[in-house]
Amino acid sequence: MKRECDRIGDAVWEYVRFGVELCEDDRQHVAECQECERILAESRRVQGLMKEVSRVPQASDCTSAVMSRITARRRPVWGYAATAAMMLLVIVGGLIFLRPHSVTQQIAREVSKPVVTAPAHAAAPEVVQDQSANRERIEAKTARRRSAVAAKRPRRNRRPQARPAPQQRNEMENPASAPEQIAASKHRPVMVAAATWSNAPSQSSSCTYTETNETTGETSICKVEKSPGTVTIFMESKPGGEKLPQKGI
Amino acid sequence: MSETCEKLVELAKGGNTVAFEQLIAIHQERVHALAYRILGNSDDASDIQQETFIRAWQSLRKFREDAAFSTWLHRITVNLCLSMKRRRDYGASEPLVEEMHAVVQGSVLCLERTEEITVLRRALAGLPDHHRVPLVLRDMEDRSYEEIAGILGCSVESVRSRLCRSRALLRERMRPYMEVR
Ligand SMILES: [Zn+2]
Repeated sequence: MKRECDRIGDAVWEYVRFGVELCEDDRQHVAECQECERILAESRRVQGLMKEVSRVPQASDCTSAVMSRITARRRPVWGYAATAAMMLLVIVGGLIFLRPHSVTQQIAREVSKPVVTAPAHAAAPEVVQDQSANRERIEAKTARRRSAVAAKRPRRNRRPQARPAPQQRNEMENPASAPEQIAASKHRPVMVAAATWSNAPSQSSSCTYTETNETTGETSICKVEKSPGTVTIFMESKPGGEKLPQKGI
Repeated sequence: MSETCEKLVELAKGGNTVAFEQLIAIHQERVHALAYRILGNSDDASDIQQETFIRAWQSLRKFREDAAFSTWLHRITVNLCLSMKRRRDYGASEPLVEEMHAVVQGSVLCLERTEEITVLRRALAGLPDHHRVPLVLRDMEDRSYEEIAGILGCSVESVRSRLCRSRALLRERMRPYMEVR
């Protein structure tokens, strides 16, 4: 009976609150059941109070507050690109300053590659190609200077180099195979890394880092160029033949 | 979902902030009312009101039109209210300003009524969330069983049984007070 009263109690509540009519059986039950009669009275009283409890104070207009929060969170796309570019510059700059020897080694590896085995040169961007006339002039001059220094220098005192690839090693062990190309490629600016992004800021800028090896006199130059759409990092090595250690001469 | 609302939702999904602003204007009062009825605190209801629209904007792309936008929005509101309640120790809500006015007026009838309202408010606040929220949605906001099921993410049958239980609990908790009168 209690279970039946609970079920009818809910129907009674719906009847009081929303005017949903009871079926004939339920109506008969309520008329005869003391428990359900009490439920009907309680429902009426509680729901009278519920109307009061349901009152809500005037809501303030939140439109402008929400919209300002939404628009503040929306950053323009180029803002992210500019941030990424700046972070890349900082990281590369930091690496160059903090690890000068590894840069030198990388440059040594790069300059030891013959032209035929250095496809990165072919893929270098326009900015590298544009400097070719000047570069050839410097290369010819430096190659001449290098040959003169190499002729004077005993083999055992030569600066250690990174272990070359087998093909390179053959070419280097057998200088007759391509001596001129190797000499000509030694201080060609090498494109180490490039990044592109869309909607880049229109301004261009660049910065240059220079490091001189006290022992060999070799100068390593790293140039970072930021132009619309690209960050390009060039590395160049200029030999300092005149500054070779006394012991080696 | 009305055609206007549907169009606004479509535009807002594409990032149109003006359309979303209009959606806020249409829905903000009901969102605030629902939050206030669940939490019983006006400041918190205003916070939830703002947060609801921020969350809605952030996840608008996930909204599928198989439910009404208002149902989806009110589901966010309910979830935010319940997590706020879990974070804080929510007791019985404070009496409304109108109730305080009634007390100041000094009428015995008003005072009795105010006491009864406070008792009911406490009884409601003491109900477990899974019983109280359907009661708020049905008996305070006049929502259909289907809509409540959509907001709570449960079946209509589950709504019916939870409502039956919450109404019985409420009557039970109000009974001692009513017998004294
Ligand atoms: Zn009965």
